[in-house]
Amino acid sequence: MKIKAIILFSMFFLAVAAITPWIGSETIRAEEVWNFFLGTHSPQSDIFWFQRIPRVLLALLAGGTLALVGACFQVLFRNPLVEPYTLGVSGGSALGAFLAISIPSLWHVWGPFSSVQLLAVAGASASLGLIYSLSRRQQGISIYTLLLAGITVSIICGGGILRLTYISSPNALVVFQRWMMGGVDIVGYKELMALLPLLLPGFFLLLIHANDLNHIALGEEMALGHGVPVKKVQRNIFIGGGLATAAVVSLVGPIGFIGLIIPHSVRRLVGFDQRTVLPCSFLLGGAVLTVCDCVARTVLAPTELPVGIITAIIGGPLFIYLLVSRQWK
Amino acid sequence: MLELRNIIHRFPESSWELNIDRFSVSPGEVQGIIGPNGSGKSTLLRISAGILDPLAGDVTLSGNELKKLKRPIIARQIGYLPQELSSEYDFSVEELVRMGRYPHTKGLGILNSTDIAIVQQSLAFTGLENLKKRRLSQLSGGEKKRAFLASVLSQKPEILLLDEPASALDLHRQVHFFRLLRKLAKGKIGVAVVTHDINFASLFCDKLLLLEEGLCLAQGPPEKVLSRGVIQKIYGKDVFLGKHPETGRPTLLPALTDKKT
Repeated sequence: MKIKAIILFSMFFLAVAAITPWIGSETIRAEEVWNFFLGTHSPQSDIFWFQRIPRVLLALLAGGTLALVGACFQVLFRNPLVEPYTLGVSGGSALGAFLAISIPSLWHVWGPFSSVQLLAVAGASASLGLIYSLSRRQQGISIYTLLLAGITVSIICGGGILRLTYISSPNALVVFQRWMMGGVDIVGYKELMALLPLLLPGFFLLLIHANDLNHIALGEEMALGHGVPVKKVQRNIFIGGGLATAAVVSLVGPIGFIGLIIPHSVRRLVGFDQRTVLPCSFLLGGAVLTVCDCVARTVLAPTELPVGIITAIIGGPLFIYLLVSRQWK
Repeated sequence: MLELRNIIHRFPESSWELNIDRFSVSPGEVQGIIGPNGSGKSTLLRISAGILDPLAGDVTLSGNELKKLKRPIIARQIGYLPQELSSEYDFSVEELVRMGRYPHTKGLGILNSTDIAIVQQSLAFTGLENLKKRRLSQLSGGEKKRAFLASVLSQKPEILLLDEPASALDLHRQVHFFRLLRKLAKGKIGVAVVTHDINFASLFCDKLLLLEEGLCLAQGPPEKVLSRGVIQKIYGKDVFLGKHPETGRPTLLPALTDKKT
């Protein structure tokens, strides 16, 4: 475990968190921001405290979550190409979200939770559960079945989404299209707070198994021989990863590449010990998505790009570079 | 002591069955599990390690039912080295050996000075002190096997279950490996080793268990198990049964003609 690496990544994370809220099409002065606490409101202070800060916090959380889940899933399935969405999570989540968006009678709000979020979570969990049960063998998880099952579930969910698209109102289609592009543009803290009941247990289930994942990387039998309760670890990573991904995807949509690229980059920088890789993946993933969002809202200001486009533009070439340099292991 | 009684195991959609009345591993002895391919050697070892639950029968560890014990408790007493050894990530030898302390630590697995001393002992015992900073990808097949064995040894087990640990090694490495097992047995560790090499099993093991098609064909000292009748039953007239010049233990050589057995 490399404490120095975690401290360095934390410093980068905090620096990004501190700097990016000040960047945007609207110039904001520090004086206006501090005066907010003295009761003097201005449009700039409201933009800062109710738009930029929640947005930056959501980007930090969402990017961190996707990278953390990606890092855990890549070890659990012993496959470097797995990301949170490979296993049909985004397909299941999108189908659930679209179901809630397109059928008006399903639209409800319970406190900070909306039916879009809850059905997205349910869809993601159902996908993960189905894929897990299909790929489970007595000796462990069959990687080929897992990937095929993931692709199959994604196709089935895609079919369901097409069916809903066919019967949905134009209004619902616009909302769904925007959701699919991915974005962290929220106003206020209510939606952010609504994430926490799902994210925090998810983080807990993932991070308590950081050491166990090192052993799982040696193979299931070797891990069992070392004394790791492999089935419990697999179940918790599944539930934790599913909860956390579903929570994030339900709010920000399917943002690609962060969950795939960041864990690989972190391993190249800090080694393979998951006790270092997991926290560093969270910190770098959060920081990178926040920087990407900062670019997305400033590069064509005052027009904003969906952040998913930026992550794809940066992540695609980086992925090819990693692939060509053959440094997966 | 690890004890198995009346073990029956079958795999789904297969008529093959493992049926063993009694098998035990006691401290201080090296026991060889031998037999042709598909005879059930690895399955028996996995059942012994609690990796696989048998359909019927009892597996007990120091009198306690194995399946009721938690994995870390089992790992403190049983060290298991599977046949397939690979790592998704390129850990260093030292990192791998440190992982063996898992059942003795909690949470993040931070090692104390006692743990670190045991890791160093395991590295020294397997002759890997000079290679401890090397990555697994930089090791030869034999060095990699020793690194994984060192990881299992740092669990400080009382029973060691090894599935073909010397299969990829050249002759002198195999000799070194089996001598290591004898050294471990001297230190009151009970060793059960699955091996295809009957000569090594005969020379280095105190007892042998000979399996064929899931059944125990013979069990006991090598002289008793590797009798002319048993050898002829398994290998026909294709092998020559002789005696090791140093120990007098039975050894097998390929027969030139099918007349000698």
